[in-house]
Amino acid sequence: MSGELEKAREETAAAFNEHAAAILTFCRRRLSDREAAEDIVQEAFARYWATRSRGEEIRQPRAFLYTVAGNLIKNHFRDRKEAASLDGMMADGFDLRDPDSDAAAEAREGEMMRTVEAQLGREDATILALRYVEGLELSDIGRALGKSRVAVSVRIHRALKKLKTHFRED
Amino acid sequence: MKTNDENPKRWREALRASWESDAPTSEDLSRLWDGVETRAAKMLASDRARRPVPSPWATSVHLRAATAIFLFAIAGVTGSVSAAAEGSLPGDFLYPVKIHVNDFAIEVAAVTAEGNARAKVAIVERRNDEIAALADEGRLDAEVIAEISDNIQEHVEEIVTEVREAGTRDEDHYAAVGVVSEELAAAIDGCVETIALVYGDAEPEAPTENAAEVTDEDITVTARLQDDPTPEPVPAEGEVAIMAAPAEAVTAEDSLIDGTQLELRALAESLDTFTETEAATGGGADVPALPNQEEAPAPAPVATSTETASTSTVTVTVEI
Repeated sequence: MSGELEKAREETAAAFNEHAAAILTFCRRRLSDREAAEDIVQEAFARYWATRSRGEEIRQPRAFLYTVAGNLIKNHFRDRKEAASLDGMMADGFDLRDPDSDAAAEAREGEMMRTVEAQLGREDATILALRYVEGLELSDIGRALGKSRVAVSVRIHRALKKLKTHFRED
Repeated sequence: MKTNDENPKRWREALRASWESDAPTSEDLSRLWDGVETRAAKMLASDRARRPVPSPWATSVHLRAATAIFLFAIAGVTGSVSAAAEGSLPGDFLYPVKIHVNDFAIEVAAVTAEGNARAKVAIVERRNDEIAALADEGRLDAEVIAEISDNIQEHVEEIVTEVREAGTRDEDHYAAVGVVSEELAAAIDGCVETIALVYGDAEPEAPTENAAEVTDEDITVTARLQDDPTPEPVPAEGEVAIMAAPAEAVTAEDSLIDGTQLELRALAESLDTFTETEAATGGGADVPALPNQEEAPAPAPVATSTETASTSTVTVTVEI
């Protein structure tokens, strides 16, 4: 393997260590199918690697990865004609809670999780998480979800308002 | 829950907790990484296969290719169509272009009478190549052979008429006569041989000997149906009827092919004698033409027609 290719590998590994967990979470949130989510993450990083090994520059690795993953998710929906509905996923036995988490924390956080999801709906919860947990730029969120920057901004504004109101009034 | 007001960041925690509840384990991630390596290896391999030389000159190569394509387009649609037609065969879409445009280009390039005769040789050789190519592709049949034969006969008619009617009897004229009687005849024989390789020799009653005996001054090969109304009077003594194929013995297709072969063979043989006849008629350079030619209503028409299966009779008429 030449130096250039080795360099591409190292860069991909670095990007993976930094972003893979968040990207996978993002994909899991968007897809009910866990295998499909992992598949998409692998594909996104493999494309990152291939792009770098072609000598093409990737200025914002995270934005690149979210965008690729977002497009792959869109393709997945188109191919499978699968609606990403929370109800459907719940019906399939999908559990939002991490089974490995501490029982007490689970009891406490589980409530909050369900609250967030129930209040906002899955998509808005994902958008808010990308913005405030992952700290993504609005435009990157837009690319990942296939929406415009303004649309993302509006949704964040409304969701945030709703969430704040809920936590104050509850 | 009524405690949320106490902490203004409460919603953030809830959001984070919600988000991270789905966080993958490190085992998940290392398994994932293995998959990434496998995929990337495949992707890179197909990348390499697709573009084996990712060179910094790629762009300029593309530019050059685009320019070349552009220039070719400017160079003329005619030229490219004609070039494309060059490899076409009878029955192909572009074949008419080949025989009308490309063949014409060969003829136009010739200046002298000898050159014209050689152009005809070249064209007949092209027809021979086509017969061979069609045979290779299994597309050679009676209809195509007849079409090619017609084309050859047209060209022979042209050159014979041209040479015969030439005003001067100079070296160029005799050189042309030589080319016609030897090379052109040989080229036509070549076609007959190629057809014979596929279909076997034509089985005439006794055509070749008879035809060879008929060596008269004027050469007009008329292949036509017996019931074809012929405008010109046919002298009985010079007529040799060749039964190309007994209808009961062979199929219509075979008889048609045999008929065409015989036609071409008779044509070649008539050309063999062209030297003698031209020498005889043109012996005196001042004599432009034979008297009987002037009497004829038309200057020795070489009417050719494709044999039909009904009678399959080739008539070689030699006028005196």
